[in-house]
Amino acid sequence: MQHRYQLHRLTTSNGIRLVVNPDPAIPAVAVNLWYGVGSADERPGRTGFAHLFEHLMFSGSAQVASGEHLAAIQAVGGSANATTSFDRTNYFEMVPTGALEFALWLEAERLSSLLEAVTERNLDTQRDVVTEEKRQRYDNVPYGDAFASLLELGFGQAGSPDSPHPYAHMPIGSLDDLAAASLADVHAFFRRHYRPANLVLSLAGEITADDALDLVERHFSDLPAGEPAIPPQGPVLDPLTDLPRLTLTADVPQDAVYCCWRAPAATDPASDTISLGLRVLADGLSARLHQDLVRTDLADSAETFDLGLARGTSLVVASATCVDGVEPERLEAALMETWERFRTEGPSEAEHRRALAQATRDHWSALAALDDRVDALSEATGLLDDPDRIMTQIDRLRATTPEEVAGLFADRLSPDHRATLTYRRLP
Amino acid sequence: MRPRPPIHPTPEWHFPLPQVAALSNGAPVWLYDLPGQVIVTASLLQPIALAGEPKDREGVATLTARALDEGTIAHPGPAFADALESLGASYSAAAGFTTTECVIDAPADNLAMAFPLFAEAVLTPHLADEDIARLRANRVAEIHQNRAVGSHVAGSQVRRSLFAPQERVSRPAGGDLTTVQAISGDDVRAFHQATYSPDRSTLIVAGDLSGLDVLAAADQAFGGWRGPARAPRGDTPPATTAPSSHVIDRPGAVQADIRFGWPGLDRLDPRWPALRVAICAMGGSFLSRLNRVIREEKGYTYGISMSAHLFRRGGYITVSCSVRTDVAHPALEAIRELLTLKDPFTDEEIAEAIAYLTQSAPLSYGTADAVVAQAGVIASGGLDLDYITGHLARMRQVTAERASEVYRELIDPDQSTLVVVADTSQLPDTWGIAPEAIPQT
Repeated sequence: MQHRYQLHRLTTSNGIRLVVNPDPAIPAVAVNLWYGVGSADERPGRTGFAHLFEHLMFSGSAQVASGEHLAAIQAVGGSANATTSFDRTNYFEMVPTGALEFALWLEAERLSSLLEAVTERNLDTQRDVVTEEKRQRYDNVPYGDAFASLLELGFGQAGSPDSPHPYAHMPIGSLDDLAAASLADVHAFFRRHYRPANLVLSLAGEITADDALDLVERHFSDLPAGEPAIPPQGPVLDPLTDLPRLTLTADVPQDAVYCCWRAPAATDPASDTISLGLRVLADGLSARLHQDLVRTDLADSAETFDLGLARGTSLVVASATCVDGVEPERLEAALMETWERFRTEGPSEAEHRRALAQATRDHWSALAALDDRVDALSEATGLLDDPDRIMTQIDRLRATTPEEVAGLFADRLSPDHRATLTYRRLP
Repeated sequence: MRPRPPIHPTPEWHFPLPQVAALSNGAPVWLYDLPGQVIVTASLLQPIALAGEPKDREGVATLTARALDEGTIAHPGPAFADALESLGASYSAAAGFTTTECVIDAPADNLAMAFPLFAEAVLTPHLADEDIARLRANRVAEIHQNRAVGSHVAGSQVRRSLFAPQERVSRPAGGDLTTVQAISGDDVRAFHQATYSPDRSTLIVAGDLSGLDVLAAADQAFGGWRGPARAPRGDTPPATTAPSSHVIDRPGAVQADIRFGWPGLDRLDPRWPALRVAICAMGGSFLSRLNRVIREEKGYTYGISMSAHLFRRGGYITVSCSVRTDVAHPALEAIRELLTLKDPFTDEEIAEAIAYLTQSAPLSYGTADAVVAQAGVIASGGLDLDYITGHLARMRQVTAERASEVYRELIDPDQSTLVVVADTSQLPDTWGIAPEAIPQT
């Protein structure tokens, strides 16, 4: 299947990496700002700060009141939000075409004068809001601590207490650290990370490349570029050894097993190749883990995923929940048996073809909506300065062979190099 | 200072109208051609009412819909999923209270090959005992999972409390522990035999259809399908009950999940446009009254929202949020205070809500799956094909006065059904309400 988006990669006079995808199918434009700062840039004792800061970016600016950014975008029929991850913070709007310039103005406003609007009161309120976000997402749901535990297993040993590995903590951070964040931290963080040179701005929708560049220059060009961006990078960590293991006894509905491996970073083509193997193992009813664990009544569900981390090393996870009466040890053994068989024999030709077909569907589905597409463009540009990757990634995958998939699993994903998190239901 | 740029008005926009055709067996087909949408979504909507499930086998419609891709007569067992997934297609299904929806997504190139498989799943599924047993166990696990999530417990309780116990909508669409555990392979096969039929069903396809003869492919796959005739649907909204209050104890919870609920209405009710605008102004947008105070001023919650839940006929309205346990009391009071609408909605609030709701419409329907979902609402609700366009026009006519009037007619905070799910040992008191255990469903 061949489908092509028209893409333009431009640079503004002050170093903003601008990507434009003209697509007039609907009368709207999606805007995505990708700042190269995430939770991996936080200092010890200030975890959660990048995300808390993301909330403060809605405090207003010289000409915009607190909360007005979101409200004003909604009042023109648009939507706006932001997310913080390990390697980046992104801010996005989707607006009717007639409000595109207004959205860009709002973004330029806060990049130029946020600090005039942030007050102790904003900080206190958003600290409370983020605390409730953490409780709602992680502390008040079953298995909510799995994510943090997997990071600890995968990266906890890679740093020291004084200098923890940047991926050893979750973007939401710790409540103690959030409580310690001060207005001085807010100012320092903004000055360090929020600057045109550290920004990728992507637009998709009813807009031409010329008009896009013109609008962005009009609103952003008086801001100094600042220090050049540092591409995400980090050490390629050695595989895990000695089978680290963590068992949590918790109020969960079913026992569960999570295994994780250090894996190639999201910027490494090997990561895409591995994703095909992860599909053979767990994508759909024909996948091996579904056949071997779910159809045999050992697991209720089984899945695999990659955290998509960019700085040297990512984390691959395979997880399954136990059918009532199946011990997690037995499920883990069965999971590893399937895993090891796949690792030694690799995907069959048919499995490889099927995984490619599924990857193709998911690839184009993920680009179908303008707001998702600009996010993908920003990521491809922020990580590798290669917006075309949103198309070439699938072409490259189609050129892989089953042997390549097998080779990477053999090298990187041996059961000997896993760590295991087990949940046991409270008796 | 950068001057604030002007906002240019959005040109008038219409929800796309489909090409309407019919299969050989009479079932209507709606085709939405959306250039550039290379993953096509096809949805078969059957008017299967869950009220028709055997009372002691509720959930059988859900298990039937979920079992269709577990193997067919022509492709037994995993061979079916292998064939479908090798085309890059995926199957999903949901049995709602009045409509069962079976959906495939496939790359446009492979749609013609995916259609026969889609039809196999619907017409001639294997529905083997061992597959039903496994899906039954999965559904039981899902119920346990839902019971472990406070927001889910609160959401189910509010619906159970608002509607009369004889109404199917008062109970989970997928059945409860008792009814699900009673479902056998025979039950599923009998349900499939009795209820799956092209009569009054609709097939909706959306995506980049250029160069494809979708109608021919659909007719070849589904045109020969025959099934029992269906009675016309009833038009009576479900009966509601008097307001009640519930505190559900969830030991160890670190937040209180709060729900207010009221009986609502459906899309045929002339008050719906005004209610939708009013709900948006009260709790549907970021600086709506509720979110402005409860989140942005007080920091009690990550977010609070007011929503209308519309059935085909009838519906209900909720306010939902999760707050930290020690502010549950002041939060409840503050929410109730705002809900009284002491000051009627202002012209500005209503103008902003209307702009948000109407101008966001073209942005919401940019993808094939979004268009299919909305078209499905139109088909199952028996609405006009241009319903959305008309609804947008009616919302533009709503005045602040009318929004306040309809709001007050339907939402009385003193007559609300209230649900709080929390660790009651952490609450100073439970508002004089005796705490209940988490229900079995």
